[in-house]
Amino acid sequence: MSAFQYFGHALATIFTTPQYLFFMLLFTALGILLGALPGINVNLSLILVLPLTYAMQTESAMVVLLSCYIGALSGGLISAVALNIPGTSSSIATCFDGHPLAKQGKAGQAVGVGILTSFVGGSLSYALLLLLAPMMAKVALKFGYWEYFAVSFFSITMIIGIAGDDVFRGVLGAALGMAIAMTGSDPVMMVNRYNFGFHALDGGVTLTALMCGIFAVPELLKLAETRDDPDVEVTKLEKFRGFGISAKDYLSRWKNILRSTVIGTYTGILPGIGASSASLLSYMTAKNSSKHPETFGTGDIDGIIASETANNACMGGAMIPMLALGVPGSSAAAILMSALSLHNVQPGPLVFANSANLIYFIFAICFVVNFFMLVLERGVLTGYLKALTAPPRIVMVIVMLMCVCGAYSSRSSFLDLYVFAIFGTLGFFLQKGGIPAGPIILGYILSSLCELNFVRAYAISRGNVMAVFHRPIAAVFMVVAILSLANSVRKTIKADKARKAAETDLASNG
Amino acid sequence: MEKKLKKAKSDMWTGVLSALFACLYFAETFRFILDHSVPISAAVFPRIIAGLVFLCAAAIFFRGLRVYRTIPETARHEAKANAAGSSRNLFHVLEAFLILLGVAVAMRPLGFIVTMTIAMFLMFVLLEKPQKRKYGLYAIFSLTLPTAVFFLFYYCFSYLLPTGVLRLLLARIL
Repeated sequence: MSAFQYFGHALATIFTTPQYLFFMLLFTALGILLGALPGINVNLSLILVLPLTYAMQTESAMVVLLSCYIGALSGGLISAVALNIPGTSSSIATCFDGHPLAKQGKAGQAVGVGILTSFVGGSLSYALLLLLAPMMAKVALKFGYWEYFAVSFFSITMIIGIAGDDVFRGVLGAALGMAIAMTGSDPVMMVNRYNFGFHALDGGVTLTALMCGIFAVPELLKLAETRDDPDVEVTKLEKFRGFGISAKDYLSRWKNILRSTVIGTYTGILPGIGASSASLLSYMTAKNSSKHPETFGTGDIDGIIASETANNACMGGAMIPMLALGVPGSSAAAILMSALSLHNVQPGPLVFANSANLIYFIFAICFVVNFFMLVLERGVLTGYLKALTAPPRIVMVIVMLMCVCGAYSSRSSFLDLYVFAIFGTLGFFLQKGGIPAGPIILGYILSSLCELNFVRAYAISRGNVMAVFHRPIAAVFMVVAILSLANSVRKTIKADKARKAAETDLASNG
Repeated sequence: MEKKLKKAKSDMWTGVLSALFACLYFAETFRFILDHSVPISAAVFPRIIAGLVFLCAAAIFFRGLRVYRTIPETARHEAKANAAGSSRNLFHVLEAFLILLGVAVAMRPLGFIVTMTIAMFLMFVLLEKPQKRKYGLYAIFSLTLPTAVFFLFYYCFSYLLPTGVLRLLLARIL
């Protein structure tokens, strides 16, 4: 049987089994709801439904888990746009343009475009997966430690662009995020670092607590700081139709859509890189290729398209290492893999030969759930956004409650509540100092990947750092990273000179 | 001019505090118990990061200082006079931070429901102007939402949030 025959058979099975369709509807809706709540991430959503799948057949279990996964991954964009708090880390880059649009009263349009492009990115990625999965798995096998290091280094240099023209603030933010990530045992020799005698810190600072703190607490503290200021009129939600964008306008951005899909899918294939890096890389590439890069960060639809297309496309790509190599690319993929193992399906190089029926059934689930996601998320959008336009003081206190739950439940540690409060307040002052939250979180996510792979590669190459340039894929990433860094420095110097010239003109004109 | 001064001051403060952080961060690496037989020790990356933070801090500080020097003395005094009252706003920030810290401290002994009920009520009161406060509404929200979330986590996520002083009462209900 060919791949398309397997796929057609799987689609027929889904559409002729009401139980599968009911599960898809129910768990996609649940995933969207959970993903949209700040503090409840994709992993927690999967953990919630995992016990339900124990007694199910393998196919039903996969329907439940994948529906919840895709729903939660996409739901993260709602709170990213409306509250500037990403529901999941993969939606961080969506905040950059989504929230400015929400401030202009265009939250509906921003989320609508996000939903549409999540669907398109996901569908294109699954199509690529269907066509290229066995071949792409072979390419992924060529990735060694140097390649992983080069990709993570490249991603770190991409973060810097988020800070706009100020490269120093961008680097400082990313470096502070990396510094936070160094807390706890080092990934290779398990040497304790920065635990200050508290063994509770041996496990490091968790991403959920840090993300809830850095994104939610500054918003809360801003409200406290401006309490005595005159009331600002709440921005009304502008009416919008469909997905807030015409088909013609959306299709005119085909280059951005295709590029983001390729970046998302390919980044997803690389184990451990993750959807947050994919959306960031895609966002920065879209910004750098745009004729008007200055509009990015101020509410540019292309920014949302780049971020949301890539993070959903990443889902399709992430299936490849998980199924073909047996390597989970993320915690969520690890949960999906454990569910497969519970049902006696061993992902790995032989999976396409031994369990082809199930593998193409999984691909088919992704396609159908993606469609359910589009319809359901658009359906609940207006109501959800209206709820979020309640007085900001009420909304933010409720968000605080959810974030406290999220921070504590990530590993049942009281320490994470301190992390939430302290790093959140620190984030408030850093934002006052002009250091945005995005680079801090992304620096945190990428640093352990960068360190782990560098140490391993360094040991294997017997201390020869130049070995990174002896490997073609790694060398390309390193060269592009260095060029991008040089370009950022050049832009900063240019912006400084332009500012100085403007000031001189102003002074000379009196 | 005021905006320029504010930016310059912000640059200088960011630079000084970040440089201080970098020095402490670097110094702490000498307290790691390292295995010197490995090709690259666990202190290398933290030291690189400390160096990176220090370099950026220095660049930001000197940029701020350069701008600050170009601002006339009179403009600096004017800005200082206008800044009166901002300390009051920062006091509200401090209060909010203390509530968040209080949540972390009280969560173990008092439990989730009691801690969050008190914290939410205090936060509602803190964030609203005194003449606009609706204490009844805040009390209802503060009591019902944490209780609802506690039971939601227990029944839906099979996850028990801290019970604290309500341990015995909740043991009877759950």
